Amino acid sequence: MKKLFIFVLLFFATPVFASGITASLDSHTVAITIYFTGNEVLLFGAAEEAGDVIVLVQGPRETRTIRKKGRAFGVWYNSESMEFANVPGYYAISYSGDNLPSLSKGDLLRHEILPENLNIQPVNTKGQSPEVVESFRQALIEQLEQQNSIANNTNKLERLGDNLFRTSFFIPSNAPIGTYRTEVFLVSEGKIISAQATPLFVSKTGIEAHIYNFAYNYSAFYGVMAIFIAAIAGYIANEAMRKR
Amino acid sequence: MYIYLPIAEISVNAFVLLGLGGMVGIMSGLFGVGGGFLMTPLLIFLGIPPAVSVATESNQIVASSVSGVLAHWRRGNVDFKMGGFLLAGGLIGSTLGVVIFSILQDIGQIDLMISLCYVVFLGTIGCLMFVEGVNTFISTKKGRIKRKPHPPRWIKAMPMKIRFRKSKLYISLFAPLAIGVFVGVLSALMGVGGGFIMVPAMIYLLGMPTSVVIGTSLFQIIFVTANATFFQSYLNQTVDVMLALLLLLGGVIGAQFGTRLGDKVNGEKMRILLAAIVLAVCGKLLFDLVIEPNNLYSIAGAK
Repeated sequence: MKKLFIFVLLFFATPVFASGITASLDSHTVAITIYFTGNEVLLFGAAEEAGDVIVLVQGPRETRTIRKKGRAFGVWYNSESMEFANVPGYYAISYSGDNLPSLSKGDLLRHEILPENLNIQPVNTKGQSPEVVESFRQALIEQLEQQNSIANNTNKLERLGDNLFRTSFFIPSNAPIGTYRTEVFLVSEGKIISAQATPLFVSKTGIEAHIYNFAYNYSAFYGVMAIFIAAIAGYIANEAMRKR
Repeated sequence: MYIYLPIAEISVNAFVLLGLGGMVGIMSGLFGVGGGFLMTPLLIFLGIPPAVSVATESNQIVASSVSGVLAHWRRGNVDFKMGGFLLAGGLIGSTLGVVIFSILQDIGQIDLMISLCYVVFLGTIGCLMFVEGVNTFISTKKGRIKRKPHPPRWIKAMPMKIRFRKSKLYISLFAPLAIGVFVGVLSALMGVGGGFIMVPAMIYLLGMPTSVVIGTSLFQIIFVTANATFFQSYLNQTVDVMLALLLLLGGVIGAQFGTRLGDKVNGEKMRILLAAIVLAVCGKLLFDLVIEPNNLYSIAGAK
């Protein structure tokens, strides 16, 4: 009886994720410097078992407001809005081919695979119907895709030989700073059989980081300095013009 | 060469900014205007968030106004007493303006407000300038001399009159105070120096002699825009010093060329041309307001 009990337990035990997949990035930091116009980050790895690979990159979560324009007295203005929490500042998914390897809806939602499965929740529905809330949610995802904050398989995954794979994703200049999570999943027969995560740090460095920090942490000083610089510049300009 | 602006948080082409500063600088040298009312909409058209455009433009105007006022001061063309009252009103007005700005930003209607203000004021001033320019052109041709404008009766009736020696005026101190407050609020909301409202107000509402008007106006503008810059930095963190410097650089070089160019061309024709440009910018902003936008949805900045 005891043996049968243990056998049943083992049958239902969750499988241990073997190191069936590994991945890394060409660089784990993206430094936003003064000449930053965006950065392409390269991801590469190997799958030790057979299966399809899905790569996910997610930036820090934020609360965003989506506004919709309406018309009044002939003028278009922001008439409606809805706030959503848990919105990723950056999201990219990459897989080979045109179709995502099949997975259960439960897995897709749990790991937030594909933009439509993001766990974005309205902060306050303001009594709007679920259809309206859903339309705002869809619009938010669409807008994020348009401004390159969400990349829905824009760079497809490349498989090299049996085991190796690589892909890249573009961090735009308006990407938020913080810790990004890069995850690789190995999928076989509709189930995730292995996974690994690796971090990416996006930060501002150099003079513009100092300016940014100064503006936010010492706002009053920053204001006085801005005025001072402008006044001196004006004075110098005047002096230069006089000599001519 | 692209430069990443720390507060605007976008990358722009540095040469485009220098060119923009230069172009507006030429216009300011040519017409004697601050140029803020052209620069701010142009920055917004470029993709810089409206809030940052307005606040940073206030910063840039401090520089060009300092440069301008020094030249006028040397010629004795600044009425400091009148300027003092104007700027007292201006400080109150611009602080109030920045607070209103914050509130509008929070409810997501700041873009609308900025556009509406621009359409109303550019439209009104543009029309008035155009009409005035055409009338002057016609009367100069016919050889008629223009009458010196007198302040309207309701201004003359205001209490607490004091003497302003430089402007040769005896007028209520509430007049410059009130004008100052009004222009201050607009200045903070629109990212302008306010000269294009201040100068006609000084000539037609206060009756100040034209020789003193520009210098005194610039004097007042320095403090009002400095105040707006300070509060925009402190309350809203919307001043991008990097952007301001780039625009400044182009601006002072452009103003040099503009002034030299201005010596060679016909004054009245230039005024009509400026009025036409003002009306064109106004038209574009109005068009953008009433035309169905390509995209009904927009996302506010992250929190």
